[in-house]
Amino acid sequence: MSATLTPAPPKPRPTPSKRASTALPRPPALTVDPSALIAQHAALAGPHPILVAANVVLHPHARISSLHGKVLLGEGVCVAERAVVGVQGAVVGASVGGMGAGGGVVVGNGVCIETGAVVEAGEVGEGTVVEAGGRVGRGCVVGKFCTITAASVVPPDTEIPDFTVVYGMGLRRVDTTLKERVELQEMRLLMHAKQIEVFKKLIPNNVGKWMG
Amino acid sequence: MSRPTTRRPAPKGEYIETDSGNKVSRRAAITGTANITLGGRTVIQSDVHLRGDLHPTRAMPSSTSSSKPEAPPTSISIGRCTVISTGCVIKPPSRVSRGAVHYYPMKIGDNVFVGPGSTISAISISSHVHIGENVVIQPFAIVKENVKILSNTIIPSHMVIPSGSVVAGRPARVVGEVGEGWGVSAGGSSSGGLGSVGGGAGAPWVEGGDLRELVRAIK
Repeated sequence: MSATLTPAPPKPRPTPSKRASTALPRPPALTVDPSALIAQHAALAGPHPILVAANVVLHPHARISSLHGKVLLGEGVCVAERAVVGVQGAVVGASVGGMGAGGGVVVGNGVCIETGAVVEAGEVGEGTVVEAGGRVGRGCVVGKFCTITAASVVPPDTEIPDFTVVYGMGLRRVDTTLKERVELQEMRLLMHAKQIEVFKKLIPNNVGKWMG
Repeated sequence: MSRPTTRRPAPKGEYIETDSGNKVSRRAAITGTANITLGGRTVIQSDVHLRGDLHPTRAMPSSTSSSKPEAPPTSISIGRCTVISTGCVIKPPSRVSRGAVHYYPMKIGDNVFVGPGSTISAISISSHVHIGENVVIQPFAIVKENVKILSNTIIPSHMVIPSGSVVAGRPARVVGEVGEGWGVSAGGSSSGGLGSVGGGAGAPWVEGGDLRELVRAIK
């Protein structure tokens, strides 16, 4: 082999693509209540502040992303595995610029976000349940004690009044029983609190990683 | 060289194979492994979440009387030759009983195929069940034997699916029966039942049939 034929030095290898959990910077202003439960593989990321209130439960592989605005998780919010809270992906200026929160997400007290659900809504009211695989589009305002049933899709910028059940292919009805009986609402919140207690017993807590 | 040269390092494949022939992907997210039993020759593909940590907390009547060390409670038990495809979440169901939340052990039978992206919280799934893609089975549903669940179905909680039915829809309804050919390989019979369409002509396995060949093919 002559010197002229030596191959060009190998190109620098492309840096391995980062894992989803480390792709985003750790939020500069992350406030986590010490009573929250953050499981081992849960991820909180994004350039905007994230506030995690008391008794919040983040299951393994739950994702909270403040990519386009701050995220506020109210007291006793449960985010199940593979669920995502926060506006995802690239934002087309108009769709998010229109709303006041600027891509932020406010999740009310006692909200339950089940497996694989994606919540990009501007606001989710107290006691609402988003079942497995449900999607709430960006800019939505979801009322109190709503149920977004499994795999239902709520299109962006929709307003959903209190006690609504979204089911089937975009159908809606009002849960009048729950609406008229305050004791049932209280019961629901109580049961949710008990559920959180059980989670605290069963799931190893890794909240220390996200504190301070 | 302190290490004996005859010992070769185990090949680093996608799956970890256990003594009983279970194949568990290295990229599966499994919590609470002590509470999960796999029957043997069962495949857990990548990105599957098995929530074994959500185990029953209630003291069993048998364990309270005996003084022997307590066995870990079972939360998920899966039978033989069952395939759990990519992106599934298997989560035991919970409910309120006597004023407290309890998790209940869930059981999945033999030769069950769970399609990609499904979320399973059923209390029991019997044998020879075929579950399509992106199916959601809500807590405490019971799926009996020889059932076919079409893709994107949502099975509401507490639904009992009788054996031999085909279910689909949101919420799920029984839309038909699997018929005679269910689980019989296409080569063996030419019956026109829904089941015989299974893995396509010439495939070594059919929906609802013996999945041993499929399990063997996954590497």
